[in-house]
Amino acid sequence: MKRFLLLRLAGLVGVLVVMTAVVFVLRQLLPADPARAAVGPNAPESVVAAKRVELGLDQPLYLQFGRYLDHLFLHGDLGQSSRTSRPVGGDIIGALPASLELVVAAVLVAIVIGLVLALGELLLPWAKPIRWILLAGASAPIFLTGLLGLLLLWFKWHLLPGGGRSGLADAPTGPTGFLTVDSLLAGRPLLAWDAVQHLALPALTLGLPMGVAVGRALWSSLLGTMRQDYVRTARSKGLTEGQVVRRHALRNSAAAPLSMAGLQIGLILANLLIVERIFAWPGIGLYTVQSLGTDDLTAVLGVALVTGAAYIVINALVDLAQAVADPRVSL
Amino acid sequence: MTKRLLGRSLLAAVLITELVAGCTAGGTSGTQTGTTNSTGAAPDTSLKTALQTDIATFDPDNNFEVAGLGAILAVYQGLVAYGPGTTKIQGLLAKSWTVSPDGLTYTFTLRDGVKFGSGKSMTSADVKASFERRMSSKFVLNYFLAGVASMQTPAPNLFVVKLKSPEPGLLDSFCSPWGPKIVGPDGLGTHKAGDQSAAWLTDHADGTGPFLLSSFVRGQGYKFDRNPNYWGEKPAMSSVSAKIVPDIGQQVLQVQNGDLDLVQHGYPFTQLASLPAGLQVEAYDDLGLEMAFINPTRNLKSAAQRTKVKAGLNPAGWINDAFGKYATPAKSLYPSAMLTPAKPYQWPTASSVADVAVPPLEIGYAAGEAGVQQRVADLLISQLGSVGIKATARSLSDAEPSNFAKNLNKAPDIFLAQNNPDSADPGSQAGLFYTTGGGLNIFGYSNPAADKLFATANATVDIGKRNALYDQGAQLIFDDGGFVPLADVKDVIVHRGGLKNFGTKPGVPWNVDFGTITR
Amino acid sequence: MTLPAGAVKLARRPVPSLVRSSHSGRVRWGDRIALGALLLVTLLAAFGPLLAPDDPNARVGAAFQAPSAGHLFGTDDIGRDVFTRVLSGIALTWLPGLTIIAGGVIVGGIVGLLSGAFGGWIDTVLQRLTDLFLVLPATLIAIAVVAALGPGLVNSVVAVSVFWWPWYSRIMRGEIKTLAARPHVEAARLAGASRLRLLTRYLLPGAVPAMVVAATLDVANVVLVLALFSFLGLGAPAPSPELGAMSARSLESLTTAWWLPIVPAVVIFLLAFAANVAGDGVRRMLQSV
Repeated sequence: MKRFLLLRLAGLVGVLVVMTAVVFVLRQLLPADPARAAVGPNAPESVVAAKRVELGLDQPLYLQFGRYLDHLFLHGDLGQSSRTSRPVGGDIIGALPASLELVVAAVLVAIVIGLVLALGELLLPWAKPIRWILLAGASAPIFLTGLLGLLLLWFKWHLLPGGGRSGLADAPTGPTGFLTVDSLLAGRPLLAWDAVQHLALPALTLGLPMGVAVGRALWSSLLGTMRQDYVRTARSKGLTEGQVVRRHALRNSAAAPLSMAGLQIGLILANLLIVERIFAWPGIGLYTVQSLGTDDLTAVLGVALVTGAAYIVINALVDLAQAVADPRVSL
Repeated sequence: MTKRLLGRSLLAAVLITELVAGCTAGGTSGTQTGTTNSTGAAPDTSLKTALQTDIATFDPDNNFEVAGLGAILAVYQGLVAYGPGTTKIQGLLAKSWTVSPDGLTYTFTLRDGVKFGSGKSMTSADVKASFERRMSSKFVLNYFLAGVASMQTPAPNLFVVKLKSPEPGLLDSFCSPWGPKIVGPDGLGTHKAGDQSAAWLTDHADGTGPFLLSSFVRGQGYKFDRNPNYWGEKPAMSSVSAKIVPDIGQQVLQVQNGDLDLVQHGYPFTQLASLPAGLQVEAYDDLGLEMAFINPTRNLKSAAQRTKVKAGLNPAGWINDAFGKYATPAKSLYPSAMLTPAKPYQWPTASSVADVAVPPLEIGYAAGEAGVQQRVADLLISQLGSVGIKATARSLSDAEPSNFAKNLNKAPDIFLAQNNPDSADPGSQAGLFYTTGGGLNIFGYSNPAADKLFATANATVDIGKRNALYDQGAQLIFDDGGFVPLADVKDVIVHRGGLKNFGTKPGVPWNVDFGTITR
Repeated sequence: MTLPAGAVKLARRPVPSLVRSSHSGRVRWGDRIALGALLLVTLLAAFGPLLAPDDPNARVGAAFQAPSAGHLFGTDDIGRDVFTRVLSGIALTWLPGLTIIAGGVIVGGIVGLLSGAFGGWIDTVLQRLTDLFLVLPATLIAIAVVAALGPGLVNSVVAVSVFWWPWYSRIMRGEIKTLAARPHVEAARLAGASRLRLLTRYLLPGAVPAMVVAATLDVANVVLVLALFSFLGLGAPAPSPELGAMSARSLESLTTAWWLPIVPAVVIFLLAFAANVAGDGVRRMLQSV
């Protein structure tokens, strides 16, 4: 176990260094001048030159890279965003709670969808068409589901709100940054309900592809488990099919859907860009889209590093969860 | 750009709003707030609007963006300002001023009774401190005061600026939305912290305007409450909220759905003719001329080729499809609100240049303006095709154009933009775009004859003579095909709930005046 | 960098090893139809632009016309025929998608083959490299790569391709390892067959079915990723009729002309759906489940 954690930690740092190097090299290819971007189009060249010196852009490349690594690993500094003129780390911390809240909600949605689809297809004889739902869900581009949700559920039928985190202006901004939780802490259940409603549509959109993927993995994994001897034994003891699944098969089939869930986190992080853009959700996805639009690669790199680290950590946790769920999996 | 104002003076009103928002889908809460009014609660004096981008910094000496200008100008004021709907210079924090005959000394008499949001009174010392801060090399807008030699405060209500050389455009630059603003002693003194308050003023404010910056949540939105110490007429709105909604499509949906009171900028022109019931349009002129920058180094080296492109760009053929009734063909290389040309520009006809060969062209536009420019580009591609020129278009990062000059052979052949000059002075337009070495002369265009005329104009104090020289220089550039003016495009506000008195000014693009707006 | 084997999992849908399967399974008609659909889409992508009624970049009428007999999917914001643009757009999504997969199969196949066939330090080095690519958040980095190289179809294809091969490398290596341990290969080796002969005669042909299944199942994934890039504005420049970009650019018309953003998105959905159904069909045929 200790060896596993150490290896994983070493891997994390290694991947981060590689990612840093990759994007640092990419930064050199950029057509835009970060110094000019920082001072605006109308400023004279002397102001730009001063900014260039301030940002260290006049130094040789290896020094710039050294400086970047030094700032990153020794001070947790991701550099300064040319768009917001603020430390990228601070920007990300500011935007992170909104995204985390959305991702957590999306994962919950995905688990529900995955369980319903897999168990439905397995246990209900009339539910064979679920296979088609699975295929369709795996084929829909994320912006199609998002746009249809906006158009129908928000705009046409007014069932759910579709823009931003809250309809109210004086929402609390702390302490957790999760609007649903903060509202409850502030003793405002109505605001919390409003926040949940705003959360629903983007979370559904984001969670659907993951739910479908997890559902597929769980289903095929369950199919295999149900052929095992011990399941036959359980059946012969007179348990219903539902009881067999609940008491025996589910736990032993958890490994594949769990690793699928871990992998899908990567997809969620990419889809976050589109979902947050479509639903005006003020998190790191929107931050990245805005940074992309202004060639603020420092910010894009910062997001990639932070989410990349999160992705690796989550997948390590998934492996732990697999070991807990299924004793046959060793680390 | 979305600002969201929700009255919260009455706890009861908030509770009612929340109840309503909680009982129905949150998406309709805006409409429901309106219903609350008709049932007898206090009139809704909050304004909800949106911004497409974050306000990077609220510091008036560092913010060069357009999107959040309205918010900054609701909090900070300068000595002078353009009057509503005009480019005429009026007093603001200065009630009057004199200029010495040599054009070197400006003496401002400050308005009495001006107080900052903190309650402290404004004196000439505050003005001087603000100007000194602006002149520091730390701040990107310092070039506004680059010509200042010295400043004096002979009395608490007198402020004197001495220049190194005459600057006929100085007062215009003071009227610029990016021009010098007066920051209060709290902002400059209490929170100085060794960085001239640069950190504190990024997300706090201390100004003399009708509103206070009461909440600044990066990436999410801003809130402004009425300034109880405001020296002027009390604004009708008790609060303004502006949340960040980067996608204009989302803003459109939100204003149609009642989640926003107005879309300040960027509402698609294509949809103005068929607005849903309850939405209204307010259009006004600004100084952002729709213009095509021509790259003279890559595929359009000869004047004949540029003439052929000019024929293909002629706005008469597409302007209606792009903007409907909200634009007119450009009259000159200056926005119509800035200058009227002495003689109309001559557009070449396609037949006169039929035998000139032009290679396939690349059109670029800034991503930040993609909403408008990608349609214009699509239309231009279609029209260029009709004169036998193939073209493609792509959006570029907003910072990319300033780097074109480094490798003109990789830059696009045509760049489309509606740039806003700093002020309504034609010199600011000519200096920025058309002069050799100008800050936004992105393709490094150079026309020595025009440069000469502009140089003479810059040193001429007589407004009529000045403008004539700027006009002549631009004519030369148009004839050579260095820059092609396309359209005077109106700025359009789409709003609901019968809003009035937007206080728009040509020199302050994309933004309404929160202080004057009423319902 | 070393990662435990558990750190790396199949990036996409699991493909069970096909080594032990016989190829004599019953072929369903439904799967044949699905395969036919896949072929049809490819033909449509190759020749669709020729069938289109109009020039995709020409204005053929008033803007914002609703779908009608004259313009099957209506006209867009400047009066171009959306049906024509969608037909051309299929090519811009489908063919680059196939290119990425072909690249992935070839590069990943070679890496996996070398890794599986030679073992030892070559295996270790190549697999650590594969691991590295598999643990990176591929799409996010690819987005950063395209943003830095400058948006464009070629850059998008390159950036996605860089992250697309490791999965095939894993599958190929797994198949080779399994095959190498089988009795008839063992026997051939003992009989003195050269390494090259073993590779070309026994190992490579045996691994082909698994690679084919993986590649077919993968078409939908790559179509969706390219659509995502296009939606973010990282694809081909205007006026190129890319499906994702068409949808993104007409987002603002959602309430007034819903077909402008929705139709291209639905077409992407249909492409991915056809690919998914066909992928399942191919798997069944070769796996004979």
